[in-house]
Amino acid sequence: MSDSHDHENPVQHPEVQLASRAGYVAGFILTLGLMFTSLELVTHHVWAPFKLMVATSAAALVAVILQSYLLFRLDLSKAQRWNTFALIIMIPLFVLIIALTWWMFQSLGARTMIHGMGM
Amino acid sequence: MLVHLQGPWSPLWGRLSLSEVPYHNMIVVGAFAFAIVLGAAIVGAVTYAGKWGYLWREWLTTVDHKKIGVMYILLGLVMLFRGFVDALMMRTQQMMAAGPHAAGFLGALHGYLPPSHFDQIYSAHGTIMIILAVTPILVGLMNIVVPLQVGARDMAYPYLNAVGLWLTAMAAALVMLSLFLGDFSHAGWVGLAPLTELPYSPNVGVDYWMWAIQISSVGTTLGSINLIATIVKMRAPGMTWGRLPIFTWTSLSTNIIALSSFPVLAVALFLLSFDRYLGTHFFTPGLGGDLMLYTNLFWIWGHPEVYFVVLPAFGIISEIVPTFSEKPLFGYITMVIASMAIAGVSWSVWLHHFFTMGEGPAVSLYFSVATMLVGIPTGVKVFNWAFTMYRARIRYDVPMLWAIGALALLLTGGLTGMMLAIPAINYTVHNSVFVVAHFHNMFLLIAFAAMGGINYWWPKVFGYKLDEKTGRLVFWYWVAGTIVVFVPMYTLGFMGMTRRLDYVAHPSWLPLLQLEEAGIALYCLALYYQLKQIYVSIRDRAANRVGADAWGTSRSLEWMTLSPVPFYNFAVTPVVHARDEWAWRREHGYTNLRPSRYVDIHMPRNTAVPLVIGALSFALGFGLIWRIWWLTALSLVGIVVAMIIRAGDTDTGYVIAAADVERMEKQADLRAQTVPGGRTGQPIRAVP
Ligand code: HEM
Ligand SMILES: [Cu+2]
Repeated sequence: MSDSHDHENPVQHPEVQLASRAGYVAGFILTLGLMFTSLELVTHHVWAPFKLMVATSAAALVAVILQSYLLFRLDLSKAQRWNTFALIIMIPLFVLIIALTWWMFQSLGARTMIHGMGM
Repeated sequence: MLVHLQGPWSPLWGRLSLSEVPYHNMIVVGAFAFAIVLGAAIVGAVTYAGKWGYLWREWLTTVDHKKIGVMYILLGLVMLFRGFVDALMMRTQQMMAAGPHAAGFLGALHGYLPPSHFDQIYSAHGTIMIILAVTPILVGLMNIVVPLQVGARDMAYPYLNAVGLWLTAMAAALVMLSLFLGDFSHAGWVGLAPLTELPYSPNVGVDYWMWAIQISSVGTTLGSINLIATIVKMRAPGMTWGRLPIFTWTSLSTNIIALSSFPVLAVALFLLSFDRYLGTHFFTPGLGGDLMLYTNLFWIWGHPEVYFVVLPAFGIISEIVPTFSEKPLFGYITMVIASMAIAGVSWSVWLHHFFTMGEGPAVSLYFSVATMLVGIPTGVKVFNWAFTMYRARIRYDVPMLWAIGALALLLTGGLTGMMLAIPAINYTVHNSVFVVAHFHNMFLLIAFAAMGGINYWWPKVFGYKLDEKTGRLVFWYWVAGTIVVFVPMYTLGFMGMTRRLDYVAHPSWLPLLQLEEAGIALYCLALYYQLKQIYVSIRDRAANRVGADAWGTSRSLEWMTLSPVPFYNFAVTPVVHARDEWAWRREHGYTNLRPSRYVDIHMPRNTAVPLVIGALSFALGFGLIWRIWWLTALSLVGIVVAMIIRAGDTDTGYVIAAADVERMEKQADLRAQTVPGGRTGQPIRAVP
């Protein structure tokens, strides 16, 4: 009977067992650093807008990867497999929706905005 | 930081004042009287019968997935009734207000509803029907059936399940409250931007609409997480992916859609709330906003949402058709692939809702082709059902009638959808009642399947069948009503009638509008027989008791356990040997097996926390709508505190001893002997 109660203890969950203080601290500091760098780049107009956009997007991507590994411990272990899977199937969706939205508004802007004021 | 409001506001009452009660509107007063009488009757009946304790213990605080499912469906049916009354009012208005000589009543120039009232009715009708009627009914069916079909004792997160229910119920309560306090949105169920913005809709109507949807979709999202986790993690031994019943498969794909699309709606509505509360300009053209941004976000959710509601309907049809064809489903694998493909394609078609935006031929072409691709997996499904029925010994029981009716509707609705997916056609009929007829056609397919599902699984949940004779009448009046309302509506669409008209400028359209009104009368008859069916079935339940397999030829796991299902679902966790396990056992003569040894069962304990969280979210919504900030803050804190208290509660389950399970099962056996077919069910015909 005590056996059937074991899974009630949240601390026993494999996901919780994966928690690590060093991982949290490292994840926190690294992502803060990335965000701060991006902020600095943007506020000081270090590059042309397009280059800035690429750089900040890249920084955001690295931050997401760091966070999912260091904070959420997403990997291919048995406990985490489904969580990782759920995150990964979101990626094509995300890309699809952003890309299609960008395409339709780009095309809309070109046809309806005064030239030079569109995207 | 807060936006400047037109009209009075006080710290204590927010925007609330007595003048917000529309007591000068006779229709609202009538509805209010009806609600009071009905409410008093229910409260009186419960008190008279001394059932408050029972209600509290067995229903309001329950975490049992079957009871939660029943309450979801009950909520959905009540809201279906409310939505139907809205429809009746709109049909009547359009019939009364055709042509400049149409008489006016109750303060309306033509007909009996002034534009401001008519607009609220169509907005409420759409919001209610989609979010608060069809969705809860389908979620309720998934709640009841999925854990049984995978051989689980409950959902993966029973407590979360109850939270989802009460959030949905409170959203419905907010919409109902808007009848009697303030007003409801007049911007359509889609929330036409920028009409929803504060300068154009200064009252609380849009806020009611926005927060009700926001609260209920949190409930739906939580529910989708729960169902996905249940299907992935709680399958009984032997229930491999290749053996999962099709309804469970469609539940999985539908909830993947929900989980990935509802957050988009939440974002769209939060941006709108920033506009309305904080004075930002996301969707107003001023200062760089763009109203098409709202439309875009809304339909990124909106189109997946229509597949979210249709996939469970497909699942229901896939369960009913084999049972009453007495054959396994044709093309299991292709059915699974088709369900997943529909979910996949559903993310890439949303622009077909605003082809007329002006995005140009290349973009339109992409979305047109993508939309038409949906026809392929849908066609696969239709052929699979047809081949299942081909040369089968079909029994036309009530659930089967609904399933076949749904197939007919799928054909017309799907084909008109294809027409709308062609940009050139779309430009001529967009925003006409042709579109309205198309999507009602589709939603009726869903409603038909849901009615079939309710008739099909009712005996599983309650232990007796619904009355057959009245059930048939309900079906045929629905069919008649559907034809008589929607054939004229398609026609009017081709004739150029635009949607959402409170005044119809062409008197030549009148005959078709009158025909539609006649169709509504047929639906009223269906409603009458529906109530009669439930009454007669409850009255005669002793005569209609069923065994485990209520239909004699059903196939999946839920038909293995007792009817009604005991609160622990299965006395021992079933071991699955085949796809269509129950049919497999029947064919091998294993229908009377008894466990040699019972084991302790671990069950979740009842809790009032979900109800409390629900009530607090109602207060939160109310505070936000009327801008009563102390109430908003207090209820938000309350919700967090309730969650913390619950998180600290380690005693959330209990154990039923093996001996008790054995005793209850013995009693059930004795009871089952009084039912035709004994414990397993009625042998309607021998299975070859
Ligand atoms: C699966 C069940 C379906 C449901 C529940 C459904 C529902 C809807 C709804 C609610 C709308 C319009 C909402 C509004 O503007 O207020 C709509 C419009 C539309 N539907 Fe469907 N639909 C379904 C299937 C399809 C299919 C299979 C197609 C095409 C292959 C399709 C194509 C369209 C198009 C193109 C429109 C936009 C029409 C316009 O506004 O001009 N639909 N549908
Ligand atoms: Cu669509």
